[in-house]
Amino acid sequence: MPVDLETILILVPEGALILSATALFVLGAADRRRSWWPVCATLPLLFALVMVVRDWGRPVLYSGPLIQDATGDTGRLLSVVLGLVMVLMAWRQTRRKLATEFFGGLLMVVAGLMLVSRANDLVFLFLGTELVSIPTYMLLFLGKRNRASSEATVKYFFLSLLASALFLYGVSFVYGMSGTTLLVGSGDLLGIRDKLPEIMQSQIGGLLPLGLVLVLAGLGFKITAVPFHFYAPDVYQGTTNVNAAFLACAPKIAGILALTRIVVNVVPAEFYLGAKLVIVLAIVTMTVGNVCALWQTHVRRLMAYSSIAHAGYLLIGLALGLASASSGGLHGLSAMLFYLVLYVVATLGTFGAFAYVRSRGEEAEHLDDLAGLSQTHAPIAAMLAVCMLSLAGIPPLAGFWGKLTLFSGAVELAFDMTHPMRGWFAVLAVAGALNAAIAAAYYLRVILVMYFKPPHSDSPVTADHGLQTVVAICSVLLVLIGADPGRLLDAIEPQAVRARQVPVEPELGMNAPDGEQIPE
Amino acid sequence: MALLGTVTVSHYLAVGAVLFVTGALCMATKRNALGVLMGIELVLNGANLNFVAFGSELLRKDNLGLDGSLMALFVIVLAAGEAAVALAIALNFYNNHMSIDIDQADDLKG
Amino acid sequence: MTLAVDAIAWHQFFFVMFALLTCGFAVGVLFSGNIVRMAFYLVLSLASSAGLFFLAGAEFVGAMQLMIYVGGTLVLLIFGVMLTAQDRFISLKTPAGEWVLSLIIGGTLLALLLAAAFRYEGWQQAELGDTTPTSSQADTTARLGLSLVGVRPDKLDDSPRKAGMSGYLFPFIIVSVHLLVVLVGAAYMARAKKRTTTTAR
Repeated sequence: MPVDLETILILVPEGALILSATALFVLGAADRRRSWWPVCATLPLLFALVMVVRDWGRPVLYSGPLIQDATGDTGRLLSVVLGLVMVLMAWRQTRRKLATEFFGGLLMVVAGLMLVSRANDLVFLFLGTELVSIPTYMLLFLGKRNRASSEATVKYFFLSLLASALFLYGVSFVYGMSGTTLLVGSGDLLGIRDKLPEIMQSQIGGLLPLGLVLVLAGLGFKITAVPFHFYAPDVYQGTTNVNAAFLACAPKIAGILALTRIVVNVVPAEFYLGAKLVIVLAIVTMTVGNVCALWQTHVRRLMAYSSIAHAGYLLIGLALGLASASSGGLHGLSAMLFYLVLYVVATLGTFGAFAYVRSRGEEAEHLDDLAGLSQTHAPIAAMLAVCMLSLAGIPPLAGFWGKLTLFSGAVELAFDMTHPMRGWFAVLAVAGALNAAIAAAYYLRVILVMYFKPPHSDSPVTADHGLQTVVAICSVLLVLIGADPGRLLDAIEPQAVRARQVPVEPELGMNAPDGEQIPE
Repeated sequence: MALLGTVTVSHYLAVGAVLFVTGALCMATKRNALGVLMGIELVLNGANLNFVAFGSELLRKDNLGLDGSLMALFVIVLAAGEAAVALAIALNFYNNHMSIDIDQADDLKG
Repeated sequence: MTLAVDAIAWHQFFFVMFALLTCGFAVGVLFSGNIVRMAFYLVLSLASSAGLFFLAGAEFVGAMQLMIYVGGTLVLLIFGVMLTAQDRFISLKTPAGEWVLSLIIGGTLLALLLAAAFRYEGWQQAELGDTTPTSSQADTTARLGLSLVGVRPDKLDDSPRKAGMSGYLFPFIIVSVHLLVVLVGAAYMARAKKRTTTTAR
């Protein structure tokens, strides 16, 4: 029985991206001028965007290794938008000679992210995350070529490989237990989730925690969670601002989407061991990130630690999802996706602004390079300030609502008298609040430098309209979402719930009558 | 041989576990970039042993089909690809630093 | 004479042999300080694990392990060793403190994994007498090849939907895309290498 036509049709945007990337790689070698390649990269991305928007909100559909649901839709939209924004950012920043490699790699990464967001099979999930990381190694080299960047690549590469190996070793246990790599089955085809009740009954379920911890550890690298965090500052510092923006977003999107899939489908309800582990990691991660960020003077190192701290916040949502199978846990997961969107927007805006500012002919590197930005480039300074305030979580802006939804989930469980882990969540909520206060300090310091330090005599900007557009779009988005967070949250909210509306413990052998079309 | 009894999946898992642990320790202790890569190869091979053993028709009665073998094949191919990238990266590092000792990778600190 | 041969359980014998070789050389990789020796031990360890694949009935994977891993990947690795092996990098010593710490952690991890491996006793060995090795040998390769293009011959008696959904066509395509990216990336990095050295000097 060959592959369904249905599955192929679902994959049209990904296929278009991969084919265009291949064409870029091959044709790029023939053309020396390479001036119109960014356009070639934009077209397939726009096509994918149209397809994704057209497919938005379709009913949940399981088609072999793929799943079509709202988590997937959110992830796909986020990845395509990330791709478009990155093309805008890199338009003038990439050296012409390397344009095809850069944009080809970028398209591959976007395709990988889209595959991850729809994966319903552990093999697919693994290959998707690899399709994100392998081009990333190449992109890291494309920014600059010097000692620092080769060192950054070595660190990133080996840790990334370690993470993939851990993930695979964990997947092997999950596979051995359940006998399948499919996450959710349909029809008479059973997935891991359908077999989970039976597995947990049997003695073989003892392998599950081991497999899951390894899988979570492998994905923890992608989102720079402790103890896989230490590469981030070095790698960000060793590369360019545009590449750092990419690194801060793409692996995190992949990691969070994969974690959401796995937590929703493979983790048995109320997996307390995992939840405790994740809570400890969340607290350590956000504290390490925030405290280390306090005395950074290098802008990309600062943002690297900030990205570690945000990984800690994101883990709160994961802990909620692990600890509670009820609606609280689902809201935790959708809060995590909501926070991810806000983080990506604010981070892209911040790095866009950093790339815009030049000092002494070099990219902005030190905090002092931003001095007096409010006088030399008032609009950029104001927009950067918006991104910073949103990352810090200052009330009217979007970031505040992201933190609020995450923390309120933890507080809710902390006050749930019947929940066995309420003490843990109380500590988590307090730690989160304290960390938000620490974080405000260093974000505000950036703003202080911009507004109250006298400007350098020479800080010409690149006059790059692509970057200006990116920063403007991001900051406007942050303000808009901040004004009406409910709209975005609603768009994301039902999806995790919808994903779980499939009967959680179907009678073995008899599933939903129709199989693949689960009504909403 | 009598002491071993029949060979079961558990024995394969044990060999896989030894490979996993030695590989992980290799990555932790070796200072040579290529040594770290060898550690990764060992870990991947441990995962492969698990996949093959879990999916094997000879080792368990509830036949799982070919998924295990196919996964193992994908892992082998990916490992080959990544070794190529690793070699390129290691050589690049070597040319920039005139060393393959990754403990010398400490320019980026702060 | 025939009695003596029959008395030895050959399956167990070969399993123990290959398992000991695999683990032994893996430990050798870990404890050897010399990078050239490490590469050699790694070749032997991976080659003997191919033997384990054969014993588990995955002949094609075993063959691929020998051809791609041992024949290709490791040759690549050894190239890397040769290109970077200068006297002072051949053996880099690890500090003793690091050894102790990592051995403690590794020992705990190993104990944990071994306990997990032997915890479930439900694995039963299929009757070896039923399946003659030749028959399974004959069609593993064909079945694997069919699976890679999306047909699952091992699940043909399932309902058509079930068989089609678990095809491996897409993973196969994605892996080939990976290899393309790897080719472009490695070629690019090799080119980059030349340029940096000329500017550095």
